[in-house]
Amino acid sequence: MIATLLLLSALADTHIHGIVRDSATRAPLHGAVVRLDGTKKGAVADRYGAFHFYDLHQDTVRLVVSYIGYATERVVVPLGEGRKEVRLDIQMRSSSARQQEIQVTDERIAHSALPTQQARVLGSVEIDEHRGQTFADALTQVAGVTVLQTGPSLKKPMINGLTGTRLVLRNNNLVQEGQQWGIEHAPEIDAFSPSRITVVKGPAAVMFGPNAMGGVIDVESRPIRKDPGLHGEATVNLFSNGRQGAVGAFLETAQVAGAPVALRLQGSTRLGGDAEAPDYVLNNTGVRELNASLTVEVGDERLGLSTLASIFSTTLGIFSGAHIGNATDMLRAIQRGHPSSTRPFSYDIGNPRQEITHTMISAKGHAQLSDDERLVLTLGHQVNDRSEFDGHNVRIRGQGTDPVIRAADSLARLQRALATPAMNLVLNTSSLDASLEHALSERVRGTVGISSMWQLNERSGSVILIPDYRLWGIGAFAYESIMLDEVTVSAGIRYDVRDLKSRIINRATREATLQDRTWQNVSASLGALWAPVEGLTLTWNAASSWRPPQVNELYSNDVHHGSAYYEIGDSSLASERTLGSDVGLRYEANGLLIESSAFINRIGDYIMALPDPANPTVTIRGTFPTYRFTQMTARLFGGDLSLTVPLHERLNLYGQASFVRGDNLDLNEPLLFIPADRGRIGLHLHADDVGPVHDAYVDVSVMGVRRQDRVVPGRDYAEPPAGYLRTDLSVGGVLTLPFGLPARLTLACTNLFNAAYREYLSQYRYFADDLGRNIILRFTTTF
Amino acid sequence: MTSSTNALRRFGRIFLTSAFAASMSLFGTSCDHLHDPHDHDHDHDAVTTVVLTLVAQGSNDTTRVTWEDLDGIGGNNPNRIDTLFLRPGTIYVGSVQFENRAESPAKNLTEDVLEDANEHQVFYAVSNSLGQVSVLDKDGRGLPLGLVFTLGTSTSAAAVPGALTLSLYHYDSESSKNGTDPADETDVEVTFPLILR
Repeated sequence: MIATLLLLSALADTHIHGIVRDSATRAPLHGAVVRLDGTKKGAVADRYGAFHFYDLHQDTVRLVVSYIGYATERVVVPLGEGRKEVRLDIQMRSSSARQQEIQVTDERIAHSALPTQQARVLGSVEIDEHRGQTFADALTQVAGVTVLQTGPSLKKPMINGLTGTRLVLRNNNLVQEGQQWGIEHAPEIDAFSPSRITVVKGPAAVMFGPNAMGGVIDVESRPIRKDPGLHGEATVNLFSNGRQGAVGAFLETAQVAGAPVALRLQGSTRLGGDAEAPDYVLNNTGVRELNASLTVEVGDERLGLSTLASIFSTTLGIFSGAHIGNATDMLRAIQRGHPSSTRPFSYDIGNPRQEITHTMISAKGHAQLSDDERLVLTLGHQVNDRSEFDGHNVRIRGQGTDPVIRAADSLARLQRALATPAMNLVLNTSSLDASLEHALSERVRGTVGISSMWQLNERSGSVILIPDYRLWGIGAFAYESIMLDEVTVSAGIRYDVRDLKSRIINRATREATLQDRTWQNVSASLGALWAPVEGLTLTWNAASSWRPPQVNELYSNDVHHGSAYYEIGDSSLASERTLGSDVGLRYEANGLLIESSAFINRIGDYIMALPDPANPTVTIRGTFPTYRFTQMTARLFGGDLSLTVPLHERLNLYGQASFVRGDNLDLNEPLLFIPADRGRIGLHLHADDVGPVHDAYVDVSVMGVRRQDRVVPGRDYAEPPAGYLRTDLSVGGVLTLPFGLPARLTLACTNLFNAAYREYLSQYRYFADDLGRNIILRFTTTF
Repeated sequence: MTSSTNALRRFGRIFLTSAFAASMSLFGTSCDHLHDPHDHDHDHDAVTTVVLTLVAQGSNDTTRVTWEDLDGIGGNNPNRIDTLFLRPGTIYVGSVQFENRAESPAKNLTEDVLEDANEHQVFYAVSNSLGQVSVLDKDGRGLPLGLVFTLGTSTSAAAVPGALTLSLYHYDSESSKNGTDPADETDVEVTFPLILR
């Protein structure tokens, strides 16, 4: 009844196809599920909102169209009388009935971003079609998102030039708490977990606390399918580069033995060997991963509990050519321009390597207190266990005078040394969040809540990059949105306290002292959205937030082996304070889509390590440049543009470009690790069916990255690498397997021409070229 | 308005209850005590001390210099870096000794280098043309080792001071040592100031 159904044409053949769109913005609803009621047939709307059904024999077809955040539509299509082709335009209305809205509110974009904010949701199909060798790969399709990488299996997402502890990564309702401070620490998230990912570009501290000053990446579980029976999905990804294979699958049911208990059991595994640059093998860059999770949901929309237990475990090889002893080795490696010796391809992972296990348990309960109020409580516990094994040649000397005993002792000591991490960090985090979502009136909605966390880090090993510490934090927040006819206004405020107690070891005396520091401050945001005409939305946001200094910035005291410098923290650092603003534009009409945004961010007391050339660190392994954490006023600004232009009914031209400028205003010099200007241009050809393949497409794109010329001359060991072009190609479509199972297949090739290039944001750029050609086969089937 | 104040009141009540539950679960089970470090990296012998002994040919005058950083990497800067005073136009026979003096008794690590001679090499570099080093000893495959060497100083007593840099490399395997190239990763690299007088 709320659906607007248009029968556009009625020709000849049993083919039903159409487009699913938002009734207000007319935006295609990528990922909407269209089911043929009473059958097992189903289809998922593609990125243009399109879906297809073939070979239908019924007289009347009932379609059930559902999409998260929208009221489910039922469409009856009369067939027969020679009607063979039916084209539908299904316009879905955002859930307006309060109950439905409340039911889906957790999965909506608005839950991890205020309605005025720049946010982009990646649905399951989008994640599927772009899934790479790490979790972060799928995110780079969002303009303004880049990755800071230490090799092919170790990538950290970066939003508008900010990364690490200036971003919040949420994983199934919890803020992911791993060791996020290091460049070589990738998020411990399973790339196969059935999810939707929301990327919030811009400060979100009001919702997610001080570390969200740069943005949020929110990985939310897809809801368990409510229709009866056992459902599931299986995915296989094969990568030619690194000869990597990955398999993920889940099974789910909405009922267990008739009881209203929904279950989902999910698992995935990955095995990869040495990655390959165009001209050589990158030794010791293999990866092994094993992940599993169990979700149990009971209750209904009024009162319910959702619990999740998951384990992520990985072993990552660190490219042996990038593990160096001192600054001389570094300069020698750069001068050589390629790894000194390369062994043949292997799946073996030797030292240096990382072994990480991330275990989490979360319980989220909700209670509908009244028509206007909903209470949500989330309790979580996470254990992040990270071991880093050094690749240095160990000098082992057995004890004993008898040569046999001595040799045996040497061997035992060697084995112990190889199995003992240079650094082991066990981080335990407990958290409790409580929030009350409410509607103050028809037009005013919002959330008030509190958020608390408690954390203990236990360190062992010889490397002292961070100490043992105990951290607790508590915050209280409120945000409201007022929805007027053409304008929506959002405002929020938050207050946080953080208390950090650390046990600092003096390297010279080996004595430990305790230091206790407390920070507290306020974050606030204000934003507006204006939709003056159909298809056009303009947004503006301003926010001020803060971030306490992180434990590595305060107490780091060791060599960074990948980059050959000695990093020293400053225990007296103060909090950062950011003041930022962004504007956004989105216009969509007749297949044309323009999205653009710009931001400026001024960060007072920005914390960064700067070189201290007067005090190099002299060690028996040679002399290292000393970097000290210090504070400065920083300014970041930038913008991005995404375009889709329909050239023909089946052919789209698309493009994307982004730039970021970051400066240290105190010294009037550029900041380190700011992404170089980049853009992508591509053609997407889409056909309804080619032989047995439905929704077939061919996509070819060229990515261009400029050289980062905004650096301090002589500061880095090597000048930034040259700009590069990379061509990617992908073809795909949906096949119907036996038993009517739909199978989505993608064959993609990244770096089609096997170009040798280096990326400024890669830690390996000093030592070796980036990845060569990679042929990827992705297969997903849903049942 | 009343609905919102009611909501806040109810929220407050629920929050207090849940905060209590949370504090029980979070703080009750764990105390604030930060444990003692349990570092077990003592299987690995780090070099703390490099001793160079140089004997002048003819006069048999012996010069011994020490480079030492007892607290290892980081912490205090090296506690001892001797300056090497040598005579111009003289040939010295030198030897090097690597020790771990952080432990008691001190360990002589030169024997380890000698034991795995095929995977080790010591390189020497003299700056400002103050002299030239030739390695005398060889490993099991006939490649230079560098624990024993000659140092010939330049004939003119240059006014400029220079330095002698010594680098020890431990190769991944025999096959990656070729006698001329250093390994990718430096094990020891120390620099002694050098003055000819």
